[in-house]
Amino acid sequence: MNYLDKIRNFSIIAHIDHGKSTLADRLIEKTGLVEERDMKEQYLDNMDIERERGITIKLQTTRLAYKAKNGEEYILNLVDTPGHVDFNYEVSRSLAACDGAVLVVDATQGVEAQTLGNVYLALDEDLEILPVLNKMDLDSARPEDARAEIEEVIGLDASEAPEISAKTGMGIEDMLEKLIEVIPPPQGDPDGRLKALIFDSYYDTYKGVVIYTRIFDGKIERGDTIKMMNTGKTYEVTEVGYCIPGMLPADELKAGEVGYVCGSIKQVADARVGDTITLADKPADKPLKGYKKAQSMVYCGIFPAEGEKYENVKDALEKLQVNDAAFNFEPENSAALGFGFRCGFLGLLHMDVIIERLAREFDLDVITTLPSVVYKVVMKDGRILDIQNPSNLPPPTEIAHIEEPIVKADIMTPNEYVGSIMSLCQNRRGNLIHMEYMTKTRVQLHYEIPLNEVIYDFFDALKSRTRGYASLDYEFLRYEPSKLVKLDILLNRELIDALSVIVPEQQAASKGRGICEKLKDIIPRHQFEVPIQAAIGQKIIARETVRAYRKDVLAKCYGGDISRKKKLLEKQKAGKKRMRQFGSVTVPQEAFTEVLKLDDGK
Amino acid sequence: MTESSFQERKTGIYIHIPFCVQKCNYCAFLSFPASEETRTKYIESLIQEISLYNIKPEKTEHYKAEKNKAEQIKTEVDSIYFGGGTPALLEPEQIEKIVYKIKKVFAVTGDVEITLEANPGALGGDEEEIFNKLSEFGKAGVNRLSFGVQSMNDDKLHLLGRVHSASDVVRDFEIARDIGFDNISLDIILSVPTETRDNSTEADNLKSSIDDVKKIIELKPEHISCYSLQLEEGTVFYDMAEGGLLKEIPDAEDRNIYHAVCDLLKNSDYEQYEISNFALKADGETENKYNYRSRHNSKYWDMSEYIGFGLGASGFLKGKRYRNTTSLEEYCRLVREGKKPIEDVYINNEHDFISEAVFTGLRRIEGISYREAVRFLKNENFGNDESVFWGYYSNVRKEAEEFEKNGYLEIDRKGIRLTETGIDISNRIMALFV
Repeated sequence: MNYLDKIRNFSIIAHIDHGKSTLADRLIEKTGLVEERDMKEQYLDNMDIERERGITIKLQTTRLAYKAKNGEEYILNLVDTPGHVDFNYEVSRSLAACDGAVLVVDATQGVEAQTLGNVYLALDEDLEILPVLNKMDLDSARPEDARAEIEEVIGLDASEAPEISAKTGMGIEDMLEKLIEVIPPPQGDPDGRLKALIFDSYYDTYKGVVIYTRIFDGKIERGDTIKMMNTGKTYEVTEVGYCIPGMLPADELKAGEVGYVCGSIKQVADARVGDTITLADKPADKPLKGYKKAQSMVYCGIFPAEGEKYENVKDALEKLQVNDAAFNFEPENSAALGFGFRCGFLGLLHMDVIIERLAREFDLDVITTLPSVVYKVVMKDGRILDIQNPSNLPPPTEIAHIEEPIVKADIMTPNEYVGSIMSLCQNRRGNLIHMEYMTKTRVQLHYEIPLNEVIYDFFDALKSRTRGYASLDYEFLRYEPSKLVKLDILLNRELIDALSVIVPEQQAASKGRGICEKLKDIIPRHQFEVPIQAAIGQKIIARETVRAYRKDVLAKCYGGDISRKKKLLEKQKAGKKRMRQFGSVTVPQEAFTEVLKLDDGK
Repeated sequence: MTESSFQERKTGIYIHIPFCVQKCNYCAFLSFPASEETRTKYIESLIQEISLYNIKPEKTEHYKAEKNKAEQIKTEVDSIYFGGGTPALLEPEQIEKIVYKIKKVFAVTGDVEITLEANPGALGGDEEEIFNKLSEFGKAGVNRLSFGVQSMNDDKLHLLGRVHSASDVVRDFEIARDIGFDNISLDIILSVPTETRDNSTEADNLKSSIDDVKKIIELKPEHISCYSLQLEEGTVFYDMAEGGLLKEIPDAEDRNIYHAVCDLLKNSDYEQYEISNFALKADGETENKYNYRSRHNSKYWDMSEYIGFGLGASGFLKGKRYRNTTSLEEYCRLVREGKKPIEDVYINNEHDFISEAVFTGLRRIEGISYREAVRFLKNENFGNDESVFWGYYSNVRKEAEEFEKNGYLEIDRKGIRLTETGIDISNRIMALFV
């Protein structure tokens, strides 16, 4: 028997909350090398934010040893996948490292929209898919309905799908047997030229960048000089090994295996996910397909909040960048917010995660400005400028025209929400390319839509209109000329540059009104009246007023309960700290991100 | 006030009676209807809780000397307040037992103020019954009554969910006077909407509150408390407002009502001594020996100590703020086991002391003197009280002066106080100092 026959490389794909992480935990517990006492709940989700949101952002991978009923011991490499539209590329690379996938379907809920997106990614990579029905310990489980849905919606034979409970451990053995039977062993030539796929990497203080890789051909060992085929960079290998999920050094990694490689690499951007590792002196003829450069699609400003040091923010951003190839930043100066940074992200979730990590891991207090896309501004003198900060837009008289990025957006939804989604997309300047029925009840809508319209609250609006059933996938398509103008906001007659936005000319008036109304709600009352104005150039197009406050008094002191009163006052005081002073006007920090969340569906 | 007189401030006792006939629509206090059996059991626990503060002399051969010593270190108490809920639902003997117990455990002063919250309608149905009950309360030691009038308009009373009518108020008040109660406080709630829907004009709303106050002034009580209606989460009113069934009176209107009421009271011989509290000006003859300010409530505003007994009661003793458990079962169990039923204890640090002194002191019309605030600073600070105070609060001085400039706060060499308009936004000003 060839050693390859005893390896299975697989991922688990599932809708949020369908039990992916719990199943992974159970597998590690049953077959892995982690002692039970070291088990944390949901071992693979190791960032706090991931645990809280129940999503996996950063990949983890682990090697399991399973002794099958046929007496053979198998190596099972579980490659975890992140779970959000922003990270689709990362998901696809993780799947590319596998030969099969376990599709977890919640037997109480059936197939959900998000499951499909990942299934299609897996099918794109030609993976064998093993459906399993989870949560069978619950009384509300409807395995037959779930089976029927898998067959109808996804088109997979689910008649033999194992019934399990990741929570209680029920059916896990059967599932593992089935997994060995259904998912094919890897193929590859250990004596061929090295071709290894990077599907994840992270920065370790002692070892430098640790690359997670799947070897397709050849082998890799300590001392080899490796070359990244897409970036062309070369490194000397200092360590290779397996992930258990901790690092276990090994002599070599060879074709079909999954493991890690270290080579004193300084930042993860140099070991980009999707790149192919080969040997510098005996390179493969061509890299594995599917590599994409990380491209920032969304930008926003990050500024130190009142009392926070610029240097601290800079240090933190640098530390995050070392570990995140998709994140970049450069210094920026705002008249309203002072010195800060312009930061680029894959998408909105990516942005949220980074901002939240700044607060949690680095204990920083920052202000973030409205997200923006990159506009191509064609000047009358023929120059083309990339503008992602509205404040930097040149005067209209010098501009020939502006181009904005258009994305291809695929929305999958139960058919009853089609009308509602269409009106949303229409409001967002979307252009329906075509619509197809996947099954009798599931529809996929293909749109071309300006990215600018997607980045604010499109995803939230989509979810709220479809009770969470629709899923969204988007990718950059092209730049297109568009009539755009800069909308400025004035508070107490002072221009606040950090609140400027670029909007389509035809929507300027309604956006201006919306922003003014929103700010009116967000800005607390002052000792005096605060006018809020929206302007294009010198022309005021909308106006609201925050009235001076009249009352803020807590009349009753509850039976001497001073502590309660004090807590209220402390809360009030703490709330003030999250404010920013502009001249005499105090603005809560959330204003800078909330102001454009104007769901037109309400 | 001199420094020594701060220390001479005596301790108050608050007794919480969490029972009522029915929960009022605006009420967020800890109270609920309960059976007589539950009430009896509760009073037993309450008396046991008070006993936990007993200082037992050691039984040695010097027993007598020890006993004297114990007597001397007893906490001096000059105010007892029965609040609720509806403490008037208790039997007079129960009040008597509690007062008796307190007098054994604490050194109660001869001039002690013993207040009972007596809600109209809770004292009984006919005049004789009310007369008897109030007389017995008086015999049990109660010398001050606080009636939760809330309104003198039956429609509003109905909306508030009160069980009494305006005529009940007059009847109960007059009976109390006949018996000889010469220190009575009436509570009223301002800015209660007259209608559940928005049919009332601003003038109607103002007139409605003014009429209420005028009617209680006619009774000439010694003390009046006026609170603006506040919608608290968890109350019937809150849900009604959320559901659009109750139209809250807008802030600006409420403030007009409040100031009109303050003016009315001040022109009717009442002295405003706190944001919501008014005392009848004492006659020349009695000026120095008697004062109609609430001795008990004043303790909350001048950092005096007070002990809270009963379910969910709060206390402030020996620099610690504490709160009793709010679970009746837990309360009775702990007391039975001889443990204080305290759920939360917080030991005040220096900043807590000074900030509490400032924000509670600001509730008083006289405001807070620098002396009163800085006495809590442990370190020897050079300079006079004013400079020590502003040294401590240097980071908010600019903002305080901004409030002064806009006419919300008075700052002088002795201390700070809210102006009439400052009262409207008192939270914002107080928040500076916490």
